[in-house]
Amino acid sequence: MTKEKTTGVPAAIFLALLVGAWLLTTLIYFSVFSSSFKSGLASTFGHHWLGKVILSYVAFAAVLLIARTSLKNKNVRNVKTWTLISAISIILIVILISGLFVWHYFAE
Amino acid sequence: MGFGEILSLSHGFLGILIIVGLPWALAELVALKDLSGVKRLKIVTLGVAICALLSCIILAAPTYIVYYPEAKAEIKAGPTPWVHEILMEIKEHIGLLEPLIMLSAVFLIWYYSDNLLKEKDSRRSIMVLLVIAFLLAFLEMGLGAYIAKTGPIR
Repeated sequence: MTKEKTTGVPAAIFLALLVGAWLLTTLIYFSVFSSSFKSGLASTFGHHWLGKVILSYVAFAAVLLIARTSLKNKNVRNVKTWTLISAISIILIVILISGLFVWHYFAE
Repeated sequence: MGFGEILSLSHGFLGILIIVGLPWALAELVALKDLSGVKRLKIVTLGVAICALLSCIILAAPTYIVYYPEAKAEIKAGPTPWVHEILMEIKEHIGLLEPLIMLSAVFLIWYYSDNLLKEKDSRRSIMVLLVIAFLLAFLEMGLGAYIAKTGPIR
């Protein structure tokens, strides 16, 4: 017999995905527009790309752990809403990242 | 064959496994009828998530940081510098979304587990993530193939 699941844990998973993905996008934008930020990432983590990886994945794991603990037995919106927000976000992020580098190439 | 080439080939090979594994996982999800199907779905998606972590981060890091700069110089000095400035920049960044999406899908599948058999919304939700992961992997593979053709890693 399977037990009915709350939406708290899926909400925590989607929230972690959203935070990780949007933080990555923010870091990419900051790196393109601020060379001091990019060199700061490079000097802290050895390479700017590694800095983006480490920060966004640490944020993903941290949000997942914290939100999972606090939302575990709660119902936070339905899964459909979280899926829709995540899907739109990822599509938007791909467009934003691609657009940024196309713009940057022609603006240089 | 140099070590950089081996890394680059392994990165691409794992990318192919992701592209093959995701439709398999989707097929398992669509045809989900019993507990053995749930077990197969868990194994396939976990395998794809491990491939994504290995290909997009563990293998991509040394390939991109240590061995790619030589190919980058070759591309930038050639007639198509946009292959690095646009295509590679897009690839090296959106590729980082793949493991995030796959890890999320795996966590959801392992959380719902047997409940997937009766919860249609949960199955659809996971399906959306897997379709996005597949499209991203496909885009990554295309970009990788074109970049490697312009400036191969040696």
